[in-house]
Amino acid sequence: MHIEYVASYTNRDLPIFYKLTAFWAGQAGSLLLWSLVLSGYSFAVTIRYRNSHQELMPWATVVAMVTQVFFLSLNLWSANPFQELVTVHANGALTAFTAADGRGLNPLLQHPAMIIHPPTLFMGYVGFAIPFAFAIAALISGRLNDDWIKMSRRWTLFAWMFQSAGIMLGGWWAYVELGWGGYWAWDPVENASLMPWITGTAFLHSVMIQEKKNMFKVWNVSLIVATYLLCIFGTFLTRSGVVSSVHAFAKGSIGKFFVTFILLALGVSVWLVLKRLPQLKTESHLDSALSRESSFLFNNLVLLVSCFAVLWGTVFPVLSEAVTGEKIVVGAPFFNKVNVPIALFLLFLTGAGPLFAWRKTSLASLKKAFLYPSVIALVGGGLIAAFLTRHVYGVISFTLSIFVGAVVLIEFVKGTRARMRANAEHPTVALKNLIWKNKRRYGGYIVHFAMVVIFVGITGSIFNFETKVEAGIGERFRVKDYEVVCQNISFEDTPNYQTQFAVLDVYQDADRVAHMKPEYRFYKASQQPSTEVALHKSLKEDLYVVFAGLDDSQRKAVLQIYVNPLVTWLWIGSEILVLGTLICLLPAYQEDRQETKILAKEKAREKV
Amino acid sequence: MKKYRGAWTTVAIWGFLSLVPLQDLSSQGGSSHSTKLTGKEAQRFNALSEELICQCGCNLVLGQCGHINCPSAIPMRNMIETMILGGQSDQEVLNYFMNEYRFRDHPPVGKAILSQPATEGFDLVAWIMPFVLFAVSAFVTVYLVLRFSRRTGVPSPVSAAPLAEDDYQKRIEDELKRTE
Repeated sequence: MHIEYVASYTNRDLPIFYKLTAFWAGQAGSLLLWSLVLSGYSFAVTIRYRNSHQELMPWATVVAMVTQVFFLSLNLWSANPFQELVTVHANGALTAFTAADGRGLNPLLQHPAMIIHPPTLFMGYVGFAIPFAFAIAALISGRLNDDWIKMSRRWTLFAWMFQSAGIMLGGWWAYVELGWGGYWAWDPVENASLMPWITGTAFLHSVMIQEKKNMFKVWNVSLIVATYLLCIFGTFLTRSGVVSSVHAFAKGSIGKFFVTFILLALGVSVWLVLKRLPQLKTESHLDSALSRESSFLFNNLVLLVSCFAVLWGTVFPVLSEAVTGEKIVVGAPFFNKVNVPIALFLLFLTGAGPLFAWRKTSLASLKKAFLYPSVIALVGGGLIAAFLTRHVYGVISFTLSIFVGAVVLIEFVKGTRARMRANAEHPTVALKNLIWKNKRRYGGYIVHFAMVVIFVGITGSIFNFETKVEAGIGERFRVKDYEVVCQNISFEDTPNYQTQFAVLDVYQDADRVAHMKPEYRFYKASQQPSTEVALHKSLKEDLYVVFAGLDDSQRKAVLQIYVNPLVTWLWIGSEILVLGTLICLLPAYQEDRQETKILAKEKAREKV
Repeated sequence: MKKYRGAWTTVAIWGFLSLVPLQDLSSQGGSSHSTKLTGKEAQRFNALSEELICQCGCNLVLGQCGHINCPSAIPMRNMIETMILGGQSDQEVLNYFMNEYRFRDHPPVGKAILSQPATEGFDLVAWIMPFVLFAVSAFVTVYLVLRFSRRTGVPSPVSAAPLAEDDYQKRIEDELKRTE
């Protein structure tokens, strides 16, 4: 091996999958992955619009390529992945050399999630560069009609889907690999991925107001610019080391490249918006303060405050150190305290928003629309408070989840029943057709339902339980409802690592429900230890076992055991979210109008 | 419609059953790393573990650091346990850690061992700003909604090119209104 990057992140005994995925294990590789994904996106966009949007496409291509040039410049001048291994002699001369083996991949990255998590997340990050390119192209060319919005929506949704999946895969990786029993720690890297997701979500909602009412053009351009800049800023945060200390920023050159590019992109975007302001001014108005449009504005408000809270908490240590000279940490407790109330308000809007009609909603119809979901939620919330928990946020979260779930369910039931009556369809056929013939609306509802499932999963953390147990071979112990028997403690040697592990049988009501093997591995090349968590998953809860090593007598396994309720709901919710987004992404059904006519005809006949 | 009533009942039963696993969670509660601490002491231990950041470089709160044989988390946890058993207050425990770690790093750790900003001095800004922004932007949003909705004289065009799906949905909703 004579390439420094290869020697730093691989070794000869590393399995082939991890040899390939070591591509994005380090800084230079991650930046190269940005360029690679952006090339793919640019290629796809160019092919897709090769015969259309002739005024926008040349400028959009230029904007995408400016981003490309920036990232390739970083690879050329700041983080070169093709740097050769060299020896520095006393006289300053450099001699290239070949290493017999590499230092190996960080054990934490040797996990299946790490094969797909970074590319998925990058598909999201980089994907947001495409709608940004369309927006800037529209501003430069002066073609500020609906074209760029229509082109952007699908690409934004596509990027948003990958960003969501990437975030969740990152959470899953943290959960099964880091061994602390959780999936989200409000780490700056996690926050960096969340921020553009939040503004992207805001854009996907507010863009509908422009589509329907030709309003909020400046707002939409600003949102997509913010999303793009947050993607770059996120990469800057994670790559410059600025968050760990303001002093780290000055040490490397990469931070300066990022700051210059972000300021330039921001300056050009603001200048273009100001230049085109007369054309971006709204000519129409809201028909009523009680309307879907207004609810979307409040949704945008809450999303942006949430994004600010995350950004603020992430950069505050830098700000504080610059002002007071003293280093502080803004950790998970801050983010939880600030973001939980905001997230709950957002959850409420997820359910309330669809109850408002476009243009205008009368108070009477609003009361009617709120009635059933509210009653169901209050009854459900009351039962939860009476029998399950008195945790205030927990009760509110479960109650709101029931409210949103009821809203979505009622929408599906009403639509399905209408189709059943009109077309005499079987419920499953009616439901399928309902979704299929209006993918955007019902795909959106599925995404909202996915958020409910995710919130239920997150709220389950209020019931988390953990304990530490020392167990020898043949010993039996109890953790909550589980009876655990330590069947064996053993050792194994593989070419890549040595492992020490416990073999556990888990019983519930005398039935064996799981056979677990938590491991403590020591990777030979990198000389680093790592845990392999053993998991027994169910809809109700996860039994999560970490092998922390042997006790002082070297005869007993030290096991850190967690019982984490409802975590599986989080992963199921993520899958539903991707499914809903995919449905939204499918092309609209061309025979909608014909279908509507049939429905109306059938209804008229039924009335007679 | 009668022939499909069974299908709706099935959906309702399944919907109810999906909530059943939630019912027996009420017995679950808090936790502790320590075996010597019980009741309120264990709760204090857990709360203090959330107040402090592990100094091994993981940047996680002490309660979350899952490093095997962590050179920082283990002595910190032991010290918290000793101080709780020794009858010291939460603030005394936090003060101890702030003083203990003040000169161990450059720039000095001091307050950086706490997991969240203090509620005094410049750090107070960290807590206030999100809520100030929320209040200001809520005010601006309400103002904009009222201002835009009070404008008169300008027609409210639907979209320049209405979507086929909107048309379909509007008709479905009209149908539903008529049947309700």
